Amino acid sequence: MSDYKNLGTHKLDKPLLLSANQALARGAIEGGVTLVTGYPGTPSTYAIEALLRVPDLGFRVEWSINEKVAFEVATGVSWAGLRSLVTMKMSGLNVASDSLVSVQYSGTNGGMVIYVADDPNTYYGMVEQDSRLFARFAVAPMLTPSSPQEALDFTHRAFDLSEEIGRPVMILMTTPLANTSELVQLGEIKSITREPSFDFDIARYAKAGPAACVQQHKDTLASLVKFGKLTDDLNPLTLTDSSVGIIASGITWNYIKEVVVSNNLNPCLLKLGVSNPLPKEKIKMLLSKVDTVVVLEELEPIVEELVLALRSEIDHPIRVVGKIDGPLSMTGDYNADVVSSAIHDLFPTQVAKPEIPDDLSQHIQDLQVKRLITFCSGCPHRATYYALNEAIEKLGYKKEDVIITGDIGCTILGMNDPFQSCWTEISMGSSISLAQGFKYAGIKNPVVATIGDGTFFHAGIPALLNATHNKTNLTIIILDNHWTSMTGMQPNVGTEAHSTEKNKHLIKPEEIVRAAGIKNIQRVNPYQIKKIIPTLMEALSSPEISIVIADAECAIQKKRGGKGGGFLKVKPEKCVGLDACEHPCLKVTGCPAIERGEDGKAFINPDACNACGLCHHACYHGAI
Amino acid sequence: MEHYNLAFSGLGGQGVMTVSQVLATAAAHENVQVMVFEGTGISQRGGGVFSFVRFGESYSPKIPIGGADALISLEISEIIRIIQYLKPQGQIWVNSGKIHGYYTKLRPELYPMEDKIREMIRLKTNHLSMIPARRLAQEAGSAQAINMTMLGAFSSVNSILNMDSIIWAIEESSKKFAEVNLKAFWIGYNFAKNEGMTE
Repeated sequence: MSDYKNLGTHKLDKPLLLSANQALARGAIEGGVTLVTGYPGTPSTYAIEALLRVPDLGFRVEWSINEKVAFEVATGVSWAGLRSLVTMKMSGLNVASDSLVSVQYSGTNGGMVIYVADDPNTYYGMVEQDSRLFARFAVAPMLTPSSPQEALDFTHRAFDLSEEIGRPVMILMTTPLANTSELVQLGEIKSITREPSFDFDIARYAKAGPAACVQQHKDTLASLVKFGKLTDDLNPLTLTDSSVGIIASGITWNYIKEVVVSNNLNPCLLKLGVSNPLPKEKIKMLLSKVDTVVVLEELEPIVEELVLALRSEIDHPIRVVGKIDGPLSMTGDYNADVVSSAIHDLFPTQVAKPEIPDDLSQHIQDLQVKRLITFCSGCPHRATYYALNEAIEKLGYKKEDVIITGDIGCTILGMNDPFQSCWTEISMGSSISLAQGFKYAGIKNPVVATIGDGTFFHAGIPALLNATHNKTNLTIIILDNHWTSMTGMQPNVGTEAHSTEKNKHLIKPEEIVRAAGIKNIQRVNPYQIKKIIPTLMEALSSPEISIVIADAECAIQKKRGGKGGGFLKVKPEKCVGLDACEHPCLKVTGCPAIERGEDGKAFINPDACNACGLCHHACYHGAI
Repeated sequence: MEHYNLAFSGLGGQGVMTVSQVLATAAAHENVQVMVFEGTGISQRGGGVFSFVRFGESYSPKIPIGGADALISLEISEIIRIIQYLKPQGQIWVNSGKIHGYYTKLRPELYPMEDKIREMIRLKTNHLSMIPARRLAQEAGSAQAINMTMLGAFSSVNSILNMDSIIWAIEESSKKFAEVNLKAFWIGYNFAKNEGMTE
């Protein structure tokens, strides 16, 4: 529950229990934003989700079609002199990066803040990517808060800093921080009333020839130096009489603080609240006082490389403990135990090496229950993949004959048991273009791309137009459940419920596909298994590009909207039992609502069932 | 206040995050420092989840290995996910009910034997309480309220926070389900009060 509904409150007397995501959202409110845009990508999703639950917010919040668009819309507001925030996960930053670099060079007017969330240890799938490198790449200033309180304070301040240097400011958090809640002290809400205006200045707002572009680059570099000076207080250095110095950034600061406080250590400490630019002088001050430096940063050794470079400027030898020569890892995320292990040798009598005893470890390993990450019960995608596998079999192909490219979102769960349909997963929208490449390579058998509606809108459309224009023979299945579901059911441009709001226009994937001039388009209800199988067989056999739109609303959202309901029952007298059955409903559908009854027969949990009817079709004994 | 570290585990949809937030809200109500870490991942689609609730001044949102005073698992096998965090001879509260997934429904023998789980727990502690939380929650009127039953059971022997604050936080958490949640809480409380720590 937490206190996020009170995010908009003006009362400051009592701290609120907020996650770092929610605190960042509050920072935007305090900072006087006019617009917040973003694209859902967990762990960043819950900043905007928190704002959307605040009554009478007084400014616009938008889930945009993709991160690049979100970024550009936010830029427009900033260029018109007002304040904006744009949010995304690290994969989204890749999408927005083309504009990020360009806008960073042109600069901004109203305060503009970019929130990006990295996911070391991949709690939510995709890549372990260190967005600090992007800040460097884009010459973008970057703040790295270490706690929910700092998420609020840094965000609020980032708007002011952005206006002082005339550049967007990035804020980086990682999953464990984004998902941590604590009591957060609120600040005053800034009331900003400005008339929007935009000056005609091609040399700044366009890339008008080499001279202008190089000047933009020079100005950007200078702005970064200025940012470093303005934020020196965010990199506090504590010098003690210890010969050990520790540098930590973001959430790793809290891990070292835990270890320092609980073991009564007294090392020299440098906390990096700023990850770009790095404070060279402060690092040198630390190096000059110690003979060992521990660098705590997740993923890339960015600070460590700088420390190694600066070491040569110090007149005594310094040992660097980090990840280049070990013992810390370039992968995964840290915690207090990782930190204790890394510094145990430096404080052998004070810091114990945390260990899980072998016998416990063995038990933990032996007793883990393997669990399937799968579609919710009643999910239309389950029916689509079931039908796709049947269609492939009925056409006489073996499973390994037909490449199926997958895409980001709930639809990718088709790669898991029992379907194992999706062979690949690259990035948003890539299923279609990758499939085109397979065809160009000369794959003779049908190639199928599967993509959800949100992903199709996000980045699938250019790939579709490319394949269509080049007359590539693909089968593209758009699994249209009307929501961006994997991140917690956000609306997209094709969400009816959302489009009933004023000033929203509903766009369906079918209209876009038709506009591309594709002739072979079938829209089917995936729950009508008897219809969708022949439709898919026809599509796979077609000599030209064919589109199948498997159209049914997300089962969870349908139920929430009061439209779902009902459940199916197994007739025990007809069920032959899960072990004896040649085509067990549980095994072939993987539906979480199907249980093994005490008699070994299938049993449908009425609380979980959404009455989609797939098991009815899957049962060869007429028992459902 | 003294430090107190609590870890929860369970499956997506069981209410691990809700019960963690209830405790944190209760702490906030009393002006007790609290930190909650949500280890969710893509749990909505069938995976395991865990959370840490740290009372008193702490820095790392993640409890260090061997740092938890008590563990509460809403599903018996999911205790495995957090057992390493328990202090020697800390408390373990486990819902004795099994929730099978795809693989163990197909092959029930893949689900670990209860004896093996108990054997593992004994390596860390003798303070184990197995609560038939599903049955108790159903008695209260909703199998969904297992989380509240377990919180009630835990609260019968632990008083980190005032009972009034916990009750208030349960009511705040969901007005709609406040009645059934409170009933589930008290049924769990009374059950454990009578049984004590079973081992």
